[in-house]
Amino acid sequence: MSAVLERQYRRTLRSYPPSWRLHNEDAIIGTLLDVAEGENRTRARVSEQLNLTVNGLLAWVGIFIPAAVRDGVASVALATGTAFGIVYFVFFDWAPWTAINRAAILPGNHDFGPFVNSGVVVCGLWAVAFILAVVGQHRFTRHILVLVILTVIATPFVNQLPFAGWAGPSSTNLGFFGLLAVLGLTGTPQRRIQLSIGTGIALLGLIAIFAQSGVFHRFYMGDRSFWTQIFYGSNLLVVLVGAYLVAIGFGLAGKRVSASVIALSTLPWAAAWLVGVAVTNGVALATAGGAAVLIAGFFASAMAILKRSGFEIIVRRRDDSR
Amino acid sequence: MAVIYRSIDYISGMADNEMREPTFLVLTALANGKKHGYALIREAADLSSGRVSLKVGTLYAALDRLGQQGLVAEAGEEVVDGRLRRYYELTDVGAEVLEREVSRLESNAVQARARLRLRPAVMQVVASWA
Repeated sequence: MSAVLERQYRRTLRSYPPSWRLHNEDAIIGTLLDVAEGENRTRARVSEQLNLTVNGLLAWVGIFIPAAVRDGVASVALATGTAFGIVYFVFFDWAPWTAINRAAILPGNHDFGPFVNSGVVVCGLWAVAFILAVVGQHRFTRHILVLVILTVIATPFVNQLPFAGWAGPSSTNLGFFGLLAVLGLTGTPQRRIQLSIGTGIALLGLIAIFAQSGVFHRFYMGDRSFWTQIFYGSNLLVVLVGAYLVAIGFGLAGKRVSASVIALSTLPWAAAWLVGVAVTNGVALATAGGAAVLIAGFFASAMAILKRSGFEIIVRRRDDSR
Repeated sequence: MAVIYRSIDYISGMADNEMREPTFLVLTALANGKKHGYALIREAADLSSGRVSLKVGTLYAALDRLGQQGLVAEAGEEVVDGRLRRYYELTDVGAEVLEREVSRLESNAVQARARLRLRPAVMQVVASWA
């Protein structure tokens, strides 16, 4: 029976990188079998397999992205998601100053209780995730971030139901929240004071941008307006290029962790920019996307051929590269 | 050398870098000698009165991380009943980091206890005003 269980565990451990398995597989299998024996189990628990799969995937990430970088990226993502959630809620979900005109501006749309749309659920989850992270409940923070991702995936389907028909949240905003949640899951915010300060700064920055953009107008502008009127194509591109220059500056100064955190934290913004470009210039983006797929396909084929020829490809991070 | 630099970075960052409970329990479990994975899981449960139940994947991820930070190190292997047992031990840097964390927790506990002792007096004063 132990052999069956061992095979089951070895199958699950395939989610780990080969280099990790080479060094640790037998040791972790020993521990897994010890735990199963201690609990008089002959089958692997689903939660156990899920935990191994998630940690295996994180080990892949760990090869390319050191833990310190992931923790920094997770902190920035949590701060950004929380701040964006608050401004989204106030300006696009609640916006009480637009209530009188909303029915005329959004004909045929239903309200989500006192709110414009169901985005309040995602915003609420972000607020809970932030509070849990600040009080150090990182495990529950992860659970809430997974809930954010599931809500983001489910919302477009729920919005199609007859009773729904809310004005938003737009796919760009949902995608932005979802990507931030994915980044938030890649690490653990280690410095809670900095997380709180960072969230405050991000919030003040977003409020300033919103305020000077005239969103306090009595007419409801729609939740796409953040990406079409404030952070639209060229505006966002300038911000992204600025961030990459700062990252390069940190890199040149030898601060590789800070440089990597800045570069990786721009991912959700870069994705939003790409969506904007796709909407306005779909042909150019499709060409670039096609070229990227071709290049990726070429490398994947080359790897497959090498593997079939008997080569072993092991990617391992140097011990002193952290 | 890189491990030493990282460890120094880690210790100097401890002032505002709080240790998570599973990490604290793993380091505490290793404080009195080397242990293998299953022993660490059981000790973490015992130390936390059953509150913390470490999953194996989480434990090995933590050990990887603590190893990279130079706080724990591998300390030999043996085969028992056909199963490989790898032992881990606390490094000197790990012991220092744990010592600092214990001092921080003790200091917080002393402060909390002192304030709790003042509480009845404060409540009596408030009640007399009412």
